[in-house]
Amino acid sequence: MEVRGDNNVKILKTTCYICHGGCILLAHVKDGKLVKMEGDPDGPHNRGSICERALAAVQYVYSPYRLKYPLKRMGERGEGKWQRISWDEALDTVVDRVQYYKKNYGGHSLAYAWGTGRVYKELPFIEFFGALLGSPNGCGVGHICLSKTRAPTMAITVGQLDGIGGYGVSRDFEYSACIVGWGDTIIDSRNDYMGAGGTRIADALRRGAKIIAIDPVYTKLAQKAAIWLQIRPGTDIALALAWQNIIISEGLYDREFVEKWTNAPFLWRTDTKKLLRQSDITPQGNAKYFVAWDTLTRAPRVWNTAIVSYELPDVNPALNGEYDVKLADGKVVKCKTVWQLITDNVKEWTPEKTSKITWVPAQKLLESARLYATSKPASIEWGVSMSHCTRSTATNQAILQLQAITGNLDVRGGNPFWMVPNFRTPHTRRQAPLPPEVESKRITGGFPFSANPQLAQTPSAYQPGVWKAVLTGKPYPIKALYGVDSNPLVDHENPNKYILEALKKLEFIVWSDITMTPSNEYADIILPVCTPLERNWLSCMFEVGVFAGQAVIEPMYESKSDFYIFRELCIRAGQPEVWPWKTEEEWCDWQLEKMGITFKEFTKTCFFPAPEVWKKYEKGMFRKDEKPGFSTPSGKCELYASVLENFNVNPIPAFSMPLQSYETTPELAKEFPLILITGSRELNYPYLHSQYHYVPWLREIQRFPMMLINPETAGGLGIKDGNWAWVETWKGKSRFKSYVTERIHPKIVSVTHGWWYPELPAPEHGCWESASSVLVDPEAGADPVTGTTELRGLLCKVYRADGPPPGVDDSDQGGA
Amino acid sequence: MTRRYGIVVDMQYCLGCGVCVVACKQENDLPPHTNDKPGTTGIAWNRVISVTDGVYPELTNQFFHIHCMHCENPPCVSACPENAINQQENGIVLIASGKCNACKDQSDGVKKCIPACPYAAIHFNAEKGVVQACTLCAQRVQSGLEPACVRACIGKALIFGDFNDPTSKTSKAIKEAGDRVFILKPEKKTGPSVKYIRPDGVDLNKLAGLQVIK
Repeated sequence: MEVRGDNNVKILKTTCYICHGGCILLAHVKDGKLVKMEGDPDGPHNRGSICERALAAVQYVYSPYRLKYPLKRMGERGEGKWQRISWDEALDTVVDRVQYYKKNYGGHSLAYAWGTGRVYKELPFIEFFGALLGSPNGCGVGHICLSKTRAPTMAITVGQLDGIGGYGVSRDFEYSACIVGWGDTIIDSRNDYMGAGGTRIADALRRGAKIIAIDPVYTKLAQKAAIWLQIRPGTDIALALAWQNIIISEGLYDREFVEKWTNAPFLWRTDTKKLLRQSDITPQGNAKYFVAWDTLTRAPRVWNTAIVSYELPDVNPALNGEYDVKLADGKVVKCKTVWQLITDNVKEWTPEKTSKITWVPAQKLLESARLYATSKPASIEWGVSMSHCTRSTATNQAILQLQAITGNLDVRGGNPFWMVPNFRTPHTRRQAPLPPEVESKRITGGFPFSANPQLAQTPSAYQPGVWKAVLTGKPYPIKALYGVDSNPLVDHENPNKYILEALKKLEFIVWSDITMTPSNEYADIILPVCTPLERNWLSCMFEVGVFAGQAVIEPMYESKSDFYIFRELCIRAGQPEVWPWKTEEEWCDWQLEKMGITFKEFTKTCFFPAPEVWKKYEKGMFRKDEKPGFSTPSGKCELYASVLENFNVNPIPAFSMPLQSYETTPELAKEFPLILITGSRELNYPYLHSQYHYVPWLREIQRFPMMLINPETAGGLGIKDGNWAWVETWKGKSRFKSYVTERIHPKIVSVTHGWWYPELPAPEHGCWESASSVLVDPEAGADPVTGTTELRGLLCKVYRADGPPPGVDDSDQGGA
Repeated sequence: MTRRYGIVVDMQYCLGCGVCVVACKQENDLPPHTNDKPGTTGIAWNRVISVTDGVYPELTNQFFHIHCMHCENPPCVSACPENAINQQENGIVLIASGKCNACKDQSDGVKKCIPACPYAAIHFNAEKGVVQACTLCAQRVQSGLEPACVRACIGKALIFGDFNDPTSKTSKAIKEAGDRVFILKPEKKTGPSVKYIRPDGVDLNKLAGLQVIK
């Protein structure tokens, strides 16, 4: 604690968690009241800067929209009639209902929904909550989050180990010679998580690092970029394959890494189209051992997965080529190396062909691929947009492979993985397992990664399937929902408002949040939760280090932390062992125990950096057996993801077109001639998904939901800057305020997501007026592995609206 | 030697994020306030103007961080009929809220300083019934701190210092930038204490959109 000046203002250090956290704050507190927020110059990532969200913390904490007391529904559901009740009554009701459904219908009849974490902070809460409910049906934001695809793609390519950053999100751009922002508005997202994105981009520019921005919109990152690839939405997979083609054909890859650390030399059978196994060539061979072609002896050589090595010494595996291999039954089959397979696979992606698909000029494709591959180190930061499509696994895989083949994996300034070995971070299902009979009931939608907690970093049921189960009773009825800091009506795909129907049909809903939202208006019990500035917490979510968030003020009104709620529920449910810690500090101390520091000591800096050890695969740090290599089935970085063979999915990324396009759905394109992007971050987006629209300083920055449209297109439609316009897809329509700008392609429009109007009447709060959620449909198609759906790159039409939604005043209220 | 405080905007690193605007609002308690209806607009003492030129995809863009220039020859000072605007010895131009009556005695209803400022940097605060402008966070500067916008700047593009001190960060930045330094509206001969460094390779004469800055 520091005291500055003579105003009795205490300056308390804490960590921001108004977006995804990671910026160290100096909270100015006077007489127990937060009066000002500043960035901490000692904050390793933000270095004194903070974004508008943290700067508006006072308005966030003291907002009149805050929930003050536990509430019980009085009238019809969604009627907006509430009665203040005591915490005792609220918690006892929740426990009573939960136990009723658990006893009579099984834990799987309870679903729980979570959001991006302001309320509960960190997934352990959610995991333990699943344990408390005995429910496998976590219905989280993971479905539409980058984690849905990125974490499993990391898992199948490099493997997953406790304590290692499974998202590959954390950046250290200050060491990068080249930074690729791939569908990622690093600047527009401000200091989002660990990256302190903007600060680091500026630093990188100072050092002369080159930026490649891949985005259909001329984003702020594109404005600072050496090369801007103005890609057609939804065609990123083609661009990634074209880069691979250029890098491989021009010999710009890191041959040593590819040969030694990836499964590129493994043989692949041209007949079965699967990797050759030892069991194929030797009668008693192991089906988990792979085979390479030794160029010295001109014979197949076995890669022993158990010892993570070839069985014989001095194997010199061929990287390229096709070889006749004699099988155990005497049959001879043609096999080619994985590298040859990949080389052949990407050959068709010439700059010319790719240009036709992606709309990026061929020359720029060449220049950008060369710049990326020849800059050392180079970092690719890829955004959630890569997970917002039906090709998400292939797209993420192809991008990850680029990092691997250029030798940028786990390299400082490249795409490092961080690990804090001694931090207790029980945030995967592995530490809080459910009994197998419960796990097996998870609603997966048939998507393998939804079913497999070993692969999915945030084990989530297939969320649209959960809502459908509520509505149809299939595969079994879901009776009750615990919502934690989530707003699915607004944030999730919601064609024909089907989630609303599901909420209405549920028998019991409890919701904890900081404010009312369109979603929790349909609850039976509301629990008011305090903000991250009112409680103690730790975070290691993306493993760049551990952050401490210190309570800088007491919880407002009767709000409580989720720690309190979970603990009380566990005790009242007779399961105190699920949540044994008595205070937040005790829980934090337990997490820090092996690091040899207490929470109190920790709040002096609020940050404990992960050790700076790179190329951890060389040092045995990626594997439980401490052997060099990766924690994949082969122990190699799997450019050919052998896991996918089990799911009947191409283990190397294959191209496919967006669900809707001029080429594939020409009839539809006649009626819907424009391409739609949702989730626009342009124009200084001060929110986090559907949060903070009630904070006046933030709302002033972007007062209305926006549609970016090119002047030529707008002119043809009679739309002027500031006009309200309908955006309509085959599924639904919504209206947005036009922002006419050259920064977007004439064939593309981009709209904000997660919009609602807290100031409009309950229960809707205008959430259907400007909703990108009703423009999309999860049932139209999905990625075969992860179940992600097309949230961008859909076709739409745009036409002028009469004016703003009812009750919305968009006049300029003045102010000079 | 007297001080002349000011700001250098290194445009190469201005990311256009607008964080400086909210930093200013927090420091100076500007509307809208916590209890105002969401969507209410208030005033801002600083702005970031984005100037885009060209046709998609051949585009360029520059951001201009603009607020009171704390001019050496501030035209607002002489325009004020109430002598409410004064320049401190350290160069900071301040509007004395006690003296400003928003020109309520003027027959034409015009707040004289607002049109007098070539940078549109003076704003009427209807809530308080006075005009206001950036104070360069005089209260912070007095305590040896940087203005709030400088402190918060994500790209560290804003540099605060004393132009009269050759060892200050601002003086060094100006010296290093050489002919890339420019000021807005030099023809007005105001002698602004906010100076800009254009990014390498950007020809401002080709920036057609520059006229929109007024």
